[in-house]
Amino acid sequence: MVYTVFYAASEAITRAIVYLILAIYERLETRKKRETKPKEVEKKMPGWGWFRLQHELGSDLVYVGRHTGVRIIVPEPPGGNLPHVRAYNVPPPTRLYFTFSEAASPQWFREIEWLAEQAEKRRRAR
Amino acid sequence: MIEVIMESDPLCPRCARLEPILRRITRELDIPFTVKVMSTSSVAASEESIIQHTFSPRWVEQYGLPQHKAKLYKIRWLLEEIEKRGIRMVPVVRIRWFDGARTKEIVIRGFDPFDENAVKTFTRNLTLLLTLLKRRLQQ
Repeated sequence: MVYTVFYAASEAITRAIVYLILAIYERLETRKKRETKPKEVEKKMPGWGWFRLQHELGSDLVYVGRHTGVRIIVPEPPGGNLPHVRAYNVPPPTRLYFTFSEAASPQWFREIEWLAEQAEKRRRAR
Repeated sequence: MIEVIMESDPLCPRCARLEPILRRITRELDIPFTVKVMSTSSVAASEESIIQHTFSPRWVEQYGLPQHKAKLYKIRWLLEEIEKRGIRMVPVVRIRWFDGARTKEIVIRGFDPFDENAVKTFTRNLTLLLTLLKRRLQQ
């Protein structure tokens, strides 16, 4: 009788410890999953179809042929987008400006990386 | 897809010294190289250079570092004059590439052919940059 009591007690304690360890582990895992944000994957530009290019004087619609690559440029009316055309909005280019003295320095590549990070932060903040 | 464009003036001696360097590097790496004439002798005088808008007070206020903004009060009159007259700067080297999602450019303004060390370092840096970009885009 004493033996079964000791056995039951030790089993209960072991179960409690194992349960506690598993609960802590699961809590840490869920916290890790919550903290890591999913990576932003930029959509790839399609190779053909309608594209909308923005420039200083307005916007142009460009059709690039699928098999021939022919380009047809249609200036868009200033009022708004043409309703029956679903065009891919071409994002503006990312430009990094340097002077000759910066490009002729050994630290140029570090400056490129830093400037690219700043440009990426600004783009995400928009 | 990567290309190198040089904005130049036919009468500019710095452009004349820079062009053979760029031609040699792009020929070795098999990268398309174009020379665009940006001066009163260009086909379309209304075409703007890629760096023209950077010589303006608005540009410095929006994208300048704090030390640039601090000196803006001194040179504002100069920038406004450059903007009003449409003064262009040559040579300008543009390295453009497309990574599948958007076009990216590195724009280098100016060239000093009299500083030999700077020219050597510039040539080395440019070759390394174009090689890395080409390798990355081919992957």
